[in-house]
Amino acid sequence: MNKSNHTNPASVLEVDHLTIAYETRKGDVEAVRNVSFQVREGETVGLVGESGCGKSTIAFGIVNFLGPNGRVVDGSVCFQGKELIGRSEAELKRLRGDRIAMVYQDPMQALNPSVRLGEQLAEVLTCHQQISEDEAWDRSIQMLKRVNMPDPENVMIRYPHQISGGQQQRVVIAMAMLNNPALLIMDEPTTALDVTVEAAVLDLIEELKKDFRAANIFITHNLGVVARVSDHLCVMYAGQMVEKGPVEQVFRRPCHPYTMGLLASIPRLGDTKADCVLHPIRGRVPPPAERPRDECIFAPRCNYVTERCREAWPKFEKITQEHVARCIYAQEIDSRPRTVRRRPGGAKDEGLVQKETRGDSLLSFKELKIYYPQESNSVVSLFGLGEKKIVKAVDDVSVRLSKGRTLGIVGESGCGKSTLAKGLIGLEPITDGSVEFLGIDITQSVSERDTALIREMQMVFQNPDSTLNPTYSIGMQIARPIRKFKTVPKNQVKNEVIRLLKAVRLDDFYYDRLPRQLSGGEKQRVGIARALASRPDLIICDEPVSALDVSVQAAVINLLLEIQEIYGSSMIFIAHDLSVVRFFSDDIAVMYLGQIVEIGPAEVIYAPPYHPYTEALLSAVPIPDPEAEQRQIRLSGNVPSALNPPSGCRFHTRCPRRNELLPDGGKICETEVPPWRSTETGHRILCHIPLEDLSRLDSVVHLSG
Amino acid sequence: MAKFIVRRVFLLLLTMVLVSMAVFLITEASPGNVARNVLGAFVTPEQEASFLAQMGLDKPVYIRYLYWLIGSDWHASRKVGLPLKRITTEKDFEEWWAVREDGALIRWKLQGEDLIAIVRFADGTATEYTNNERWQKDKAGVSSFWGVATQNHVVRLEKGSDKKIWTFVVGTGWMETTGGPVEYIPLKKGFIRGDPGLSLRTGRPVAKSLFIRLRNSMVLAGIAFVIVMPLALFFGVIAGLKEGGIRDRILSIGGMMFSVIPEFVTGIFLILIFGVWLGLVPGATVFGEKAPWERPDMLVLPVLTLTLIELGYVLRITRASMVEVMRSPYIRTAFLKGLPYWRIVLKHAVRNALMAPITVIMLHVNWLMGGIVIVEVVFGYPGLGKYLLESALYKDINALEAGAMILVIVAVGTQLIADIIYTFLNPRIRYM
Amino acid sequence: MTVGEEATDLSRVEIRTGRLRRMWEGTSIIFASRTATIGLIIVLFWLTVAAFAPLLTPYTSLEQDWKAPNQGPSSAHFLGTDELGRDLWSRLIYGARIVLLVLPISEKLWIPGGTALWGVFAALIVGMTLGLVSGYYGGWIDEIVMRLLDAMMAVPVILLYLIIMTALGASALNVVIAVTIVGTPGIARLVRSLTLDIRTREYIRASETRGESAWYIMFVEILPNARGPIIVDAMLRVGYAIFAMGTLGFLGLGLPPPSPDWGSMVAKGQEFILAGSPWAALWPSVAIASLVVGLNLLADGLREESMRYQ
Repeated sequence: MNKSNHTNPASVLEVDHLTIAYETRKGDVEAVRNVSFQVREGETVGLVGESGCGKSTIAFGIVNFLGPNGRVVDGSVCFQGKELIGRSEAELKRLRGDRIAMVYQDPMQALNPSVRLGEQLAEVLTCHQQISEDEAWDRSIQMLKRVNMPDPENVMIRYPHQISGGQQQRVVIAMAMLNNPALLIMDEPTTALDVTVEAAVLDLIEELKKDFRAANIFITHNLGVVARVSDHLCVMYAGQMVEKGPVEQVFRRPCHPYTMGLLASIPRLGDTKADCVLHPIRGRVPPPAERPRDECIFAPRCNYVTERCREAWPKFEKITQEHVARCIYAQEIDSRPRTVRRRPGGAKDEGLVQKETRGDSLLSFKELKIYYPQESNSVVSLFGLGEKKIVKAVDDVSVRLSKGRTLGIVGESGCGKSTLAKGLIGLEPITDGSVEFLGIDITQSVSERDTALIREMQMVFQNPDSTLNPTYSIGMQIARPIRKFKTVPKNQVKNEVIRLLKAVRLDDFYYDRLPRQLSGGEKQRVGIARALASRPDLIICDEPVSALDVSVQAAVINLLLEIQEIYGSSMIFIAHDLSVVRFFSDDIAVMYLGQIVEIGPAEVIYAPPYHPYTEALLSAVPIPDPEAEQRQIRLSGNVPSALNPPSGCRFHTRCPRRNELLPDGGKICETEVPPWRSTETGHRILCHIPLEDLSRLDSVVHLSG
Repeated sequence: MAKFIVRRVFLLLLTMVLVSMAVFLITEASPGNVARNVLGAFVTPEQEASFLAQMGLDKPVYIRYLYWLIGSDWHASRKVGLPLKRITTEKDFEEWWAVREDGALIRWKLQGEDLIAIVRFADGTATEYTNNERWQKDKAGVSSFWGVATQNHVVRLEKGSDKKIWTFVVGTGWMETTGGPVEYIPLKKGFIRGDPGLSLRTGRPVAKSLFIRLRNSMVLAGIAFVIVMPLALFFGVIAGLKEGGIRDRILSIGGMMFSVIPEFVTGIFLILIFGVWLGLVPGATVFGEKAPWERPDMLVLPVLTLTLIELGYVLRITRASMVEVMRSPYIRTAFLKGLPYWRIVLKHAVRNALMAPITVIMLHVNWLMGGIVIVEVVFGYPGLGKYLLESALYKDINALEAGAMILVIVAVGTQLIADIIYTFLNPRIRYM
Repeated sequence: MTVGEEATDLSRVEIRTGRLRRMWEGTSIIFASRTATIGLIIVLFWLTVAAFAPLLTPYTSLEQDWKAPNQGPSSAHFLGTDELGRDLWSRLIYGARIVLLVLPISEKLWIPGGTALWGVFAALIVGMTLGLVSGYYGGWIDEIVMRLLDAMMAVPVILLYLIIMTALGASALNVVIAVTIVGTPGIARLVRSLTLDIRTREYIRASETRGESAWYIMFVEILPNARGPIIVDAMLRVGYAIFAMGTLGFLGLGLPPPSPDWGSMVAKGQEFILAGSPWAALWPSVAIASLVVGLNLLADGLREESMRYQ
């Protein structure tokens, strides 16, 4: 990653004072303002920022593909010494796909569903080079081999929907690399992928960079990913570049308050609520039409703001040769009081964590199974004949949750964690097993449950845009559960709603607002207030922060922690982000294909002994620290279908450990269901490999500092 | 895929059963009947009752439905005690005969008190003899007999009943006779065996006239279809290429106008413009039985009317689909791959854009049929639609049922074809 | 890629909240689109002439002038007369009343709301209920309802009209019934697909976890959020209903004579086209065409504009 090895490689792209505006009904709106950066051969520049900061606009601006209402207002884009702005469409067309290639966020959308992959690949060659169809075909196969695609000849004649998401992204990358482009622009290329798949794709991108020595632009919102792949980092905020520099320097010594805020607002892998505080950035990103022009754009949200910040638009301040920040205090900000992440004196005295597992069980389920039939495509199924296919979404899961504690459930998409939550809350019929909540059996569906029981278990949902009914005002939506469960007398409902709004840090004028007038974070708060309205004992949070911007995530996490502290509610926290789950939970369960493979107190899950799957997950997590060391363990193959889960240990098809640690190459894993192996700390692992062997494995992650 | 087709076929059968039952029930429930419609308002109640009995319309509705659906011969044959057979005579008439124990074809008639049997030979000649031994006495002492009568009925004759019947003969009027049958079962093989029966209005077999009418309508719809499809798909794609552009505006507003204005209004406009003011083509069509070939110039306006309506509709659907495709990320990918514009349009856009309209367009066949009926009425074209309308107005149940069934088959059949085409165009379904 | 459409008017939110603001938004969306504005003008024209019909003409729709049958436009008769010497303009605007403003149930009893509107309204009620139930419950209820509606949709529309109208006889109420029966499956399908989409939203899950009744979820949580597409669809359907009314009238299955029914006016007038007096057929044709096109322009413009808002 250290680029000083190469003596100043040639600059491929120079973006200079680029300003891009979109035409709207209310006049031109600047989406990108005065952005400059350069990309050299064999180097990756990461553009990082939250949604709406203009990073994708820059990508499309470079190739001048801004749609009918967008245009470059000012600045220049210089590619290999030639100016791109103002070039004719025909000339740009020659460059696109040939010298400049792009990789997109959602590969399924980016590939044409009704054209064979081979044709989509080969046409990139035939239209830019004088080359025969056959040769193009062969070279496409070679490129697919290069991106580690299994069985490339076969993939060539397939359609996009027939291969998995990770493979689709490999195809898109292969397509981009076919003409050996000088510049490769990747727009959130791994955001739609699961952690383990993401890690493999990032590995590939790294490899390709070394081999092809293209200049890369990597756009993402994920600080962990950007720390891993970039050499240079550009931090974007509200259409402006606020800081840029070599990635290690920016992470080690962020000099713009926004960058500092971002880094302070995400938990790093291993941080816990006991010893760390997250610092959200207050306020919200101003919409493009309301951005001040002659003052620091970040001023309204900045902790260090002074009158001087509002006097003029700040220039870039130099910190080192290559490291600059658009803040007038950039030089000295280091000496100002910094956000402290560590809680003073560690954890033990905090009321947040109950180290001793209290005996009172709130919720316990044993051998829980949730199956549902899959619609079959055969003719016989019409008559109700034939074999019924069963999806085993949750299979044989047992957990016990004590009062006041938080259980985190992690796993990749399709592992059954959301189905489990639905089953508990009574929205998905439970096939088998027992569930006890407050000592009452709750295997029946929600419509058959007692109202008194329903109010004790509420849910917080993932997507802020769909968590609230767009038709009704915030006040009405929070009032509904209050009225339904009669938590307070009728004439006090409004007061109660306002009290709840205050509890989630919203002012009372939100009472009359409609959901669309709120930002994502605010909507999520309302969702939490609504769940709190019935004063539940248990709150199930289904990915409550994963759809939020980084700076807002912290605020919501803090809010949930606070609520837990005040109300003493127990929580089930479902997420795919291991750092967040680790931060939030007391106990953690790791799920794979409908089963829990490892469960125990949070601190022991993240240290050896690991279940091989947990180990792989931890090794794949992107860590927002370029100096962190992670062992590279990659899973092969795809997640098997829950329709037909593998025999024996469900993980055996992808397990990287069974060959080396079990006699016979782990034949036993294919046939026999593994036993639970437990330690005295309450840590249990579902694996054939003995605990002693697992304990000997090295820790996956070594953080710096 | 196979499952899909089986489902569709089920739907077709279900629809046909439901529609045929609905037609029967509704015709039954509604005021007025075919006798009044055919015979005029001045018919006496006795005449009406006699007419209805001869037509088999005095039976309960479920019996008539069963007769219509699966035929009446099996039921009648049990009453007669002999198998029945339908033959086509040298003069191309259809006649029903009973098959005597020795294999000869036999029918009966009543002459005074005597039962006369008619035996038909293979060469078409016939002999008669008295056949009184077939009378059967019931408990009350009444002699009666079930047999095939001369007018393709199975009838119950009663000795000495002296029942008066009225027969309506086109051209001469009412003939009153006595000694007629007391009960009739009109013989037919039933719809599912390919015999929709006789038209109550004209007395001719429905199948024959329906065939001619169907052919005429097919000619009309076929010509329109051949003109519409390429034009509409082409213009739809053109309009959808650049959303909001001037070409898009003109084509979609024009398409909308053509498609939402009722056919008869368009027809009137076209008649006024081309028939009256410009005088280019005849404003009305007067077709004889040799339609539609005798006057091709008369076909111009009907076809044009139909074409405009369908053109507008298909164009709009295609345009909407094309617009959506052009907005999709994979088209953006294609642009950013630097492909030539026309390659993007032809290879990446058009195929995806044409997939959706095919199902929608085929669903539209339902409306198209409505259009054909109206166009046929406006221009006096002797097609299926007009036949259907007349049958409905007369409550000519056999003709109405048969026409309705044909419409349903065509409608559901085209949907089936559309689904199959769609599956072949769309790899996501093909390679599940 | 368009930036900043969603959150631009925060500052104005405080000033105008609630219902008034939403109503204003609803109407301003029409004027934002030229297509919708033109459509609205046409529709308003017909509504106005229908409402003020008695003030706009000295004749009634039935008054016959034996001396002047089949006349062209003149000073006495603005648009001319029909074969019985009835004033075409009067018949036209009284006809518009039947379409848009009143439903003549019997000679004495007229209820407000045009024939076409009632048809669409009834179809909406039935279709929405079926669609909601079928989409929300799913399973065998959905299967049965949808198969029946599929079967209904597979029947050619004209056949349905023929069967229904011959069975029920020609009257305005029966036209309403026919339009309802024909329109229901389409609305049910639309509402069902909207329901299927909306029921996956998390706020529906939230109300389910609260243990709300299915009735509450369908009508209070789902239905209001499906209103946009339903309104646009309803407008198109008013167009279809006028289309259908005209067609039925033309076939002699619509309102019984001597009602000033546009369709039957065309049918009668057509007989005299070749005799040299096209007016009786032309004017009602123009009326139907303009009203239907107007409604479609309005609906198209609205749909386009609301799409842009999202």
